[in-house]
Amino acid sequence: MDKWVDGQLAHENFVQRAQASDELKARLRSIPVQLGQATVYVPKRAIWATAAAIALLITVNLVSVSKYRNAQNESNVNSETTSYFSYLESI
Amino acid sequence: MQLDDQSFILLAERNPDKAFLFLVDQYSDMVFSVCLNLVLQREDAEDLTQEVFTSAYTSLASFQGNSKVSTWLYSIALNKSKEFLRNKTRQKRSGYHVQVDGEQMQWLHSGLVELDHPGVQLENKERAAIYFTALEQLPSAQREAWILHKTEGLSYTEVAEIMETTVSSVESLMFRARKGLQNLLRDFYEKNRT
Repeated sequence: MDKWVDGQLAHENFVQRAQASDELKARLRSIPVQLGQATVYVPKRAIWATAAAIALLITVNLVSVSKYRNAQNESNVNSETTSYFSYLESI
Repeated sequence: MQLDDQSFILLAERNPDKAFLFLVDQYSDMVFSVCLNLVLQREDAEDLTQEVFTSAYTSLASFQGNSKVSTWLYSIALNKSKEFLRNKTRQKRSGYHVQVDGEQMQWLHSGLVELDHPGVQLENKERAAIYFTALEQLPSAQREAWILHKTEGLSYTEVAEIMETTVSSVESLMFRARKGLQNLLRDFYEKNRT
C-alpha cells in the first residue's frame, strides 16, 4: 500500500506540465487592444523640453510685467514733475 | 527575446505594450499551468490566465521590481485562482468536509474530481484524478504550497514570497500536506481495495 501511495505522490510520472495553447496566447496578445488603451510613447526628453519651455514662458512674462511696471512708475514721476514745473511757471 | 527583470522594468517604462508582449511570450505557459493545477479545468484556467494578464497589463506601471517578475505573476495567478475557487465553492457546496488535522484525514470525497487537464494523458487520467482529488481535500494553504513547490518546482523562499508568509510556515505547510496526502491516499486505497 505504501508503494502505491508513494507512486501516487510522484505526480510528475503522470501529470505533465501543460502549455498554453496558441489560441490562448493570441487572446492574451490582444489584451492591450481590447482594453483600448493605445499607449502613446512620449520620450522623457520631450517632457523635459516642454517643462523648460513653460518655465521660460513664465519667466519672460514675469520680466516683461516687472519692466512694464517700472516704465509706468517712471512715466508717472515724469508727469508729476512736469505738472509741478508748469504750475510754478504759471505763478 | 530574453530579458532580465531590470531590463524588463526599463522596457515597461518606455514601451508598456512591448513589455506586455514579452510577458505573454515568456510567462503564459507558467501562469496557465499554475491556474490549471489549481482549478483543474482547461477552460477555467484559460479564462483565469486571461484575467491574470489583464491585471498584469493594467498594473504594469506600478510594478517596481520589488519581487521577480515571475513571483509577481504567480501572486496574481494564485489570488485570481483562489477567488475563482471561493466563488465556485459558494455557488456549489462541495460534497465533502475539509478536515484540518492532517493526522486524522480521511477520504470523504464522494467521487473523483472531473479533470480537463492537457498535461494528463488518457491512460493516466484515473491516477491523476485520484491525486488531484486527494489534493482538493487538503486545506487550501497546504494545497497551494504543495502545487507551487511540487508541481511548479518553486523554492520554499519563492513560495513564501508568493503566499506572503515565512519560509518556516511553508515548510510546516508542506510537511502537513505530505502527511495529509499520505493519509488520504491510504484511506482511499483501503476503501477501494477489491
